[in-house]
Amino acid sequence: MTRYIIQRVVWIFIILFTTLTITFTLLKLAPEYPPTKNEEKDIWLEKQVQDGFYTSVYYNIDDPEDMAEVDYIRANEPGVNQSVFIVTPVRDSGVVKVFYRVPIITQYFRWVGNIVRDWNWGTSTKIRVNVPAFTIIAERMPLTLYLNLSALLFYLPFGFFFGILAALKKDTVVDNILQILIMVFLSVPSLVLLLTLIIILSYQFNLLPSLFPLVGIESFGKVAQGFVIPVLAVGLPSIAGLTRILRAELSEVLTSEFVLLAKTKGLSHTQAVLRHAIRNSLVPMVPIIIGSFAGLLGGSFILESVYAIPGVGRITLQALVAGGYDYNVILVSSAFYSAIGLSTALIVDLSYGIIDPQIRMGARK
Amino acid sequence: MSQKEYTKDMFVLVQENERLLDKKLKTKQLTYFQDAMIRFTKNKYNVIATVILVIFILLSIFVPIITPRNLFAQTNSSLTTLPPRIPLLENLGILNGTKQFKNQPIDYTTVDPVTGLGYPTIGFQADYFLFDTLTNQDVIGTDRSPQFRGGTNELFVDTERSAYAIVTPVAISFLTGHTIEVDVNEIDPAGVLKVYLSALSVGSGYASWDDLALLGTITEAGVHVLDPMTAIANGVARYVVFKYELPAPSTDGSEYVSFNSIAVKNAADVNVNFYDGYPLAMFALYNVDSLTENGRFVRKNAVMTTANFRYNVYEALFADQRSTIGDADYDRILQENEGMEDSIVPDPDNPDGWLFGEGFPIVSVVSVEIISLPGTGITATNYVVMLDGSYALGFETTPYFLFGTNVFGQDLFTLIWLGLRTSLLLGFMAACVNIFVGIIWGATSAYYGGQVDIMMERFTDIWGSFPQITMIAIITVLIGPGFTALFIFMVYDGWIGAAKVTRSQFYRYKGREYVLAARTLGASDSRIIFKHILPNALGTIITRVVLSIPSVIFLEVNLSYLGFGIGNGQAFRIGPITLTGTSIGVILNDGQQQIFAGNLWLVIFPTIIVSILMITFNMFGNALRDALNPQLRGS
Repeated sequence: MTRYIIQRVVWIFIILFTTLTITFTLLKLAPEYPPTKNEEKDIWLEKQVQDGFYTSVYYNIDDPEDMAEVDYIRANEPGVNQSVFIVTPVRDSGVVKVFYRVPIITQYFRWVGNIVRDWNWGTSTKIRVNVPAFTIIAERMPLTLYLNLSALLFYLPFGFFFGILAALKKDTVVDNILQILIMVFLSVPSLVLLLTLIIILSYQFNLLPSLFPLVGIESFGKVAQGFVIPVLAVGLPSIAGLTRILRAELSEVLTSEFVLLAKTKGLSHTQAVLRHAIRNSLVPMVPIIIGSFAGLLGGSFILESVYAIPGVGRITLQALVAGGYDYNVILVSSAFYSAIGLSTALIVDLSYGIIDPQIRMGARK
Repeated sequence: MSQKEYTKDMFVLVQENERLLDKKLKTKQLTYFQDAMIRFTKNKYNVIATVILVIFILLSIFVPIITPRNLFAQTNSSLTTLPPRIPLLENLGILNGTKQFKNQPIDYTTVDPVTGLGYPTIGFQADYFLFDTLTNQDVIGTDRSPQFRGGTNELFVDTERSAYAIVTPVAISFLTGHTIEVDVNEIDPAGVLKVYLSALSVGSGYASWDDLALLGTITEAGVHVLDPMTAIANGVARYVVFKYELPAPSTDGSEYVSFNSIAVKNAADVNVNFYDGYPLAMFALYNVDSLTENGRFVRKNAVMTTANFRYNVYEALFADQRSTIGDADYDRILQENEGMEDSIVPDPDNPDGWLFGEGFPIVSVVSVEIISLPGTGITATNYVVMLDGSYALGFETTPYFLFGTNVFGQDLFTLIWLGLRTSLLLGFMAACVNIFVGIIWGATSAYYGGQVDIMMERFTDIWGSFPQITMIAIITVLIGPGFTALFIFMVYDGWIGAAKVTRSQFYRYKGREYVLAARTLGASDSRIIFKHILPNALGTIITRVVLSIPSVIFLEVNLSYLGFGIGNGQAFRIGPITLTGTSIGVILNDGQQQIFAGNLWLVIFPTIIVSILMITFNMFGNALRDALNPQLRGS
């Protein structure tokens, strides 16, 4: 068991590392987009030199020979404004700086070194200039997690209720109505559902805000109101999914012999279901529920973008505005999403073994 | 006990001279797919879903072909945001080309004395309101616009400044008996309000406040009456200046005086000039010494009445328009339209005019005026005519835009099918690529097993754990949004699912005896894979692919909505098929910006269509699974 867990954790780190390596390499193949303002650009590039991603050469603006060289570089260097940047004097320094990007392989090892040694993920270039990228993502993590947790807390009770109801009333009117609703909510894209909810709750009846309120400025009540529409948009399809799985599981368990035995003992149908059948049908449910958390999180960037929720997903999409890519922010958010996805997968696998002793983990058949 | 004897000749061979052959089966023989077809048609709901799906596919092929190109391929500025109008349904009062407007500022002159309701006149014509739906409500605001009425105006002094003043917009001629009445709502006791008369409209012409005539000082709220005659003679015109003055510079800029109204009354107590609400807010700011005087003049609690109502947009747009045209134009129109001249009938209601038949640019002539230019003897004839509204916009009759039009004046009905065509085709293509790659990957992995299998599995593990958003980032950064990017998003990890299914199916069949037999007979690996194993697994794989199409369309809608897929104005050719940049995601994105303008149909119709498509696709996929793999039914 312990060996299996260690193996899995090591494997997670290998996957995370590989994913980030591929992402880093591919992103660095594209041109760099430093901050646009000259002073910020200067600060950012100097930081890059300090972190080891660039080398710099200084030229004196009063020296004609130096200036001739700068002009030559500006005219003939193929990577100008892509991997070579010329910064005009900042304030009255009188120094023209030329920055050269070092080869990707060197950058990569320095990047890994910076992260391992100092937890330094680089600074942002566009979202909030010269602020550490990790800080930007970390500030937004709580909101994204709260949102997904509230969705989880919302959908679980309803999902269980409807799932049990559908299984108990199998092949009745109630079940048929539930089946239709399940079909509808599982089929409709969450984007479409969100827009429908905005139209109904926000435009038509004016009950809820049409965009997420500004956290920190608005009162708690307003922010809580802002949670309603996104939680509904994520929660309704999840309720449908849970209902469907629970119904299938429970109706299978209901036909098994121990339920029949329970009934023979004299328990009523409901008693037999609540005391015996549900417990057994829960075994395969727990991993599915844990797994759904990663699923919710992975899809939340669309939700955050449509409803203007300032979470991790939205900031990542903002870092992807054409022609103004913020690579460091993208890398941190990739790490965030990968880490959540992989650790959820691990917990799911472990939970199988804990809940159902019949499943021996890591065993060779 | 005697035993009965059985001799050989007691027995006769049956069928001695017959040839024994296999008998034909009495029942009809069915192939696997015929059998599946029977199971498929048994479930009526699934058949209905399939029929709807087929109708959708046919509509998405033919509607864009049938509709005139100018209705969806170009911007029609005169047809923007027309609401939906559907034949038959319009008679029931729904989708009849009327549009709900909300919060439109009303024109205060239209307020009905009986009902107390008013309606807007800018951009709307009174004839086309549905008056039974008209309601009014008040909105409180701080806008300095004439739409807002009443409220107070507050004069603040800025931080570190000690005074600020406002001045009447015009000079007022004061006659004997005139009084200035200042209604102060509130005054901060830290300062005082001083009223001056100024000969100039700006304070910079004066060196000091002492050069102005001080009329009085106000220290508390209430109505204060001041007499201008103490400072000037009868008939002199002066600007009135109101200055809020603090004894010391303000520390936080919170001191203010709040005005209700300012009036100039004559001897008979009748208002000569009256300023409140908006007119008062238009008072100019006035300072003598700009270093010590600064502040702001803001409006509070002003009320605007707005109206909610339904408005018949089609009738308003396609109404016959009155116009005056010269005789040259009139003759030309008559010549260009054959039979128009013959269709003239006298107008029974109007002896000066005449009517034309249906389908001509001019409906009727209201009157004719003959003008003779003085001195030249030349006369010109002007016809006052009613132009046909539909004809003027290029239609023969008032058109039916089933789903309305979007902000570019394009027919939404056609756009949706056009977008669906793109979405469906991309979905099918992506599914094909996924299945192709998935089958080869899964088959290789499972067939060779061992190290190869482990390596290939680990690769899919890593590849599949790329978060979607990271992949979006990489592809957007490297190749930018567009068809290629969208297609890569759809297939980069879509094949993993197909590979997993194929792999598990292959593991099931590869140890069977017939595979061993084939191998003993010398069949090559590829022959065994594709001829002997794959056909057995095909049912499961096909189902998997069909069920994956909706999720691929999902992805397309989401990505195009976010702007990482395709967009308006793009086009992509694959052989004879041209895909346009319009897709359901793009339409939804355009529509979302219109929700709060009240153009809900731009979101509702694409939503309904895409939801129905998804539901029927899922039902069709499930039906196919039940038919092809009956053992999986209901799971």
